[in-house]
Amino acid sequence: MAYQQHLLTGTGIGLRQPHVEHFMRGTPSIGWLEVHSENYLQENSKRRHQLRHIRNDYAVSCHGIGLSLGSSDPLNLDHIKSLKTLFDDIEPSLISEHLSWSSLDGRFYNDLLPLPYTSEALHYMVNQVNQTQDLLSREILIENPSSYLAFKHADMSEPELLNQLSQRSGCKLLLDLNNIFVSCSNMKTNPYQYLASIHWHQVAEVHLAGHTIKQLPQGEIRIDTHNNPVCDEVWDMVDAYRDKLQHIPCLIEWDADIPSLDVLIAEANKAQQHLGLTNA
Amino acid sequence: MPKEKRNSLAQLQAYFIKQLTLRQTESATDQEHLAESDSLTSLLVASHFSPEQLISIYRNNFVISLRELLEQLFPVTQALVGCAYFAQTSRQFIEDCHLTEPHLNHYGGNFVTFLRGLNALEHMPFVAQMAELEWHLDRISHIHYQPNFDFEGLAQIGEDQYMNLHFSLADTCHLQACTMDLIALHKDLSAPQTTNLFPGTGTGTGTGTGTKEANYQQQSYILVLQNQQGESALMPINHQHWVWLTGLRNGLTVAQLCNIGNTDIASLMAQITDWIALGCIDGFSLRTNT
Repeated sequence: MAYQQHLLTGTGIGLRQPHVEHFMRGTPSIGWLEVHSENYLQENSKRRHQLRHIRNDYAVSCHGIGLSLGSSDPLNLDHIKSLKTLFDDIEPSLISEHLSWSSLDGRFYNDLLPLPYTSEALHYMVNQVNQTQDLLSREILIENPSSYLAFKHADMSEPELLNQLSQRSGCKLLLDLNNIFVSCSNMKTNPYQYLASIHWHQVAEVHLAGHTIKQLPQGEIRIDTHNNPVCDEVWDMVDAYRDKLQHIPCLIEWDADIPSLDVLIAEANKAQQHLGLTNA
Repeated sequence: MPKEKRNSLAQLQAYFIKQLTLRQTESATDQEHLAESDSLTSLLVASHFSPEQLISIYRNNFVISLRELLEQLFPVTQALVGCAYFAQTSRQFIEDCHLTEPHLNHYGGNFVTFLRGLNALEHMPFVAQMAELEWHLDRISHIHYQPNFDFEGLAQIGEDQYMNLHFSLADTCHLQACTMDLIALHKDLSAPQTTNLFPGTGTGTGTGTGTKEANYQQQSYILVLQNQQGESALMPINHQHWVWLTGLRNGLTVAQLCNIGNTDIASLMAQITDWIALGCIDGFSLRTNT
């Protein structure tokens, strides 16, 4: 299908079901849209039909959660085939997945589980990403996860692993600043040190989102819930890296307790201001 | 497990999953939990939080996301059995029936099968029937369907060939026979409750204060379909229509339908025309006599 050409620049929002009708009836003022790939796999579904319609007016990126690239299970070729059909149909500007795993022995856990940051995991991920890119005939982006724990036998840091993964596989990076802040807060490390370690020329997309602070008897832990506005500390990170970030497509992610479209667009406009860009 | 073996990616993941699912397993003893907790401590970087607290964050994400999905798919079934029993059953389902796909598109269908197999619901088959109804209401609501029946092609068929016609049911149709009046029950449980659903049985949410006593104890036949607004809808059908529609679903020709329904072709064709107009029938084929 030949879609009108749209550039994926500036700030976009995640397309969520409560807002779809707004985009079916008009063209709300937003730079671009991101969808969760797994919600659009069924070819004869209303969602797929709606996405084709919306794709005519917006650049779209597809963000996946089901590839389970870090799992020691073999790649799920049926899933990759379904994804390729979706991508051939929708022609997304970007395709992304996670530095994580979510399945073992054929069972899926519907969450992004943590990888040990070891040479073995890096080597494994490079192979998995290479194979996936070959099967999809497309470059993919890999996103840094939110972490709540770390493995003792890790022999590199998360940014080191991401840099090497990108360098060796040719994939790009999706840098989620909220995830960096959540992980660094939980691991008692410095998010600015993390940002300074990143090879920025490999970053092709940025995510901004909100999170929740959970109070436990021993102290607080930050949980990546995507149900809140972006927090001040993450906006500070945006401000500090404005020069680099303003050249990279940026997304406001809001997946739970979804607000009205106006609130989401206002959050995207706030991002534009922090990035020193004009609104869509 | 020796440390070097546990640290390989595959072994580590197997171990992590064991931890993730351990607390779900009723058979795990306190000693097992304690031993596993010690092992976990040796794997993780020390923090303010216990290994179990950290693993439980992932466990909660996984279990809660699936439970919320089931609540979203089966609100009437939840109202029918009550929140506590639904939560307990959902949890059991999540533990016993593994998610085997990297998406959730078929997960609700498995829940219907699970409910059907529960001993506790053996004498309440209408619970699984309600879940089946809700699953198909949701499934049909997601299908992009634009009726495109070939009326011109049908007009080319001579009347002498009508007996050999087979009409196909659209994917947007689901037929269900129920031991109760599920449409009435669905309607009453979907609306703010003012009816004592099952007087004296203790079944249901029990939030109602009204005095109307409903009688759902009658066999019913239901057609779930997509209406012209693209929404899924429930339609009660009579026994004869049920026989004809299940016959169509099973590939019977007009001649075979006339025989099993003991009816004339004119009545059957009139009804088929109505179903075409409703979008229930999306095509036809001509069967050669064998």
